[in-house]
Amino acid sequence: MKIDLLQMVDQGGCSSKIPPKQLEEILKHLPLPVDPDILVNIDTRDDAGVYRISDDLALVFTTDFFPPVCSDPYEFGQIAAANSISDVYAMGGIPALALNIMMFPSSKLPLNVYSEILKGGFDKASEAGVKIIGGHTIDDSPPKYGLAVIGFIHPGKLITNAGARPGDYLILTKPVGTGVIMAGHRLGMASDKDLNETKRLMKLLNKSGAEVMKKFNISGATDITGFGLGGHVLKMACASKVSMNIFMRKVPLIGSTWNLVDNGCIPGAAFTNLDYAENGTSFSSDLDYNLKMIAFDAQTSGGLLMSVPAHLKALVVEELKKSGLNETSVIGEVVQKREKSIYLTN
Amino acid sequence: MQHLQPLKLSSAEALAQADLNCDFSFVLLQSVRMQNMKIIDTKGQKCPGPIIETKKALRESMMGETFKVITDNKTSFANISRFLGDNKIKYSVSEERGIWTFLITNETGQAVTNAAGTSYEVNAPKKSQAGFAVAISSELMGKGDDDLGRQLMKSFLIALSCLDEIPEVVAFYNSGVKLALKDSDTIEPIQDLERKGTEIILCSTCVDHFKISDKIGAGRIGDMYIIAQKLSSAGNVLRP
Repeated sequence: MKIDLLQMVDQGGCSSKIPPKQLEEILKHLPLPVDPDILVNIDTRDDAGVYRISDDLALVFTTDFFPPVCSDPYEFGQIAAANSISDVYAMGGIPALALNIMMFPSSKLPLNVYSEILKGGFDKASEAGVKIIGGHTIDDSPPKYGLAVIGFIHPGKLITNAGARPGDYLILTKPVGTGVIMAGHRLGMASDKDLNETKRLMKLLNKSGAEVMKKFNISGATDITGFGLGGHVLKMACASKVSMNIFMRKVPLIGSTWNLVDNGCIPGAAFTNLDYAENGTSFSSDLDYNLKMIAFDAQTSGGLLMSVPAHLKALVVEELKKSGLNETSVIGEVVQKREKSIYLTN
Repeated sequence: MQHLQPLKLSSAEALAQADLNCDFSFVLLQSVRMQNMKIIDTKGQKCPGPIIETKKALRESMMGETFKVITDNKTSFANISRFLGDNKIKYSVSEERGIWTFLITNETGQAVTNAAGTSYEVNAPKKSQAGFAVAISSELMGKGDDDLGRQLMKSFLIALSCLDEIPEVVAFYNSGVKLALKDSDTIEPIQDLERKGTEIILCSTCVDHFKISDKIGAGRIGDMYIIAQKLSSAGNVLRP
């Protein structure tokens, strides 16, 4: 009998992330470690922590795990691994080592499902040149999987979410809509074409995007994941102390994302992300409602959003497209800090 | 929103409680409406099912029609409330023992549409209001060094495809038509422009001269009359 991991996820995936607003409240009270070798600390809410080991080596340290986002265990493993490793790429690092993090309901699923998930993770990690050298499992339902990843980087070449500068353009390497399409799929509303394309995108490592960033010495970037495009743009704008104009019609969407949202297929996570970001966001009066909700659709293993100086914009787009990232788009611009952090328009 | 209690017409008591100044036929009509009110029960449905059902009901409802949406999920209650509020749809909601009941009225008389309408184009930058055109008369940009000229033309085409306001028309002639060859390294920005709505025209005489009519990767082949017409009606013509 073919196992469908999505059958184990009761609440349509909405419940897997703590609402960002609540998370913010918790993190505010966390003591901030003080150490001159901490190059990226928790206060900038970046994609990973970074710690200097020597003059030319720093460690990038990150983790991600979540319940199934697709039916097949092997594909789930691949996507979870790609998602976990993505944060290292977003910081400009080279991912190197990882540990498996697994929660598995041994009384509800056969053990071969466990090994299929790990195999998917292993294969994707190998593709990224990452060696999984350990891990930990506990019994829990629904299953959850991901990695804790260490990457290496030169301390002077960090790419952080505090590196955006007024005058830069914002370039996105993958289309958005994974949350909408997967929610639609669970309800039988998404086409096979959209489902397959979404899985392909979720499995796609942000490796080539990272290489282009490094080639052009980009200093500001993040990856688009659970807080949605809007949530991650907000974090980047706040950390960089700038404002950002996002033109939603320039944001590439996966397949029928807009149509699904137009039919009401708006995952709950989009509402919680909107809740978190709206105080810092200005919405144009004619902003298309569907595009607004798409802006906050939680993404799994999304693309890189890089802040690129104007004179490099066309070249960076060309390089990204040449590397196979065909839907690379210029989606916005960075401006001097204004009253709001994000200005969202059609 | 006024809450109307459904009246049982046989109950003299209910009639006595009704506002005696009301027109009786109005009361009767409202009673019939309440009894025939569409109810969308989403209890047990996975997110975002309840919103999908709500949107569907809105689309299918008539002007002025009120319908009920029931949910047993607190998150769905919050999200439906948000959805209705953001779209300025009139509603009231009551809760009893973990079941929320929305009364929603369609006041617009049409499907809930957005400012952008129901059709949507991804990555559709505006075409320039003045309608500028580009005339490309060579595969090289500038004079003096041909290799440099080739590189410059490629960069120019990429830059053109990244502009916020794209040209109405790009016309290629003489050796410029070679830029649109399928295996040329300039075909991508040209196809990009075409996808975004720019009209790409290749001079037919030139395409024949270079014998490349079956190797073209973008645009349409047009004669000099068309090219003259398009360029003359443009606001500005760029000649790189």
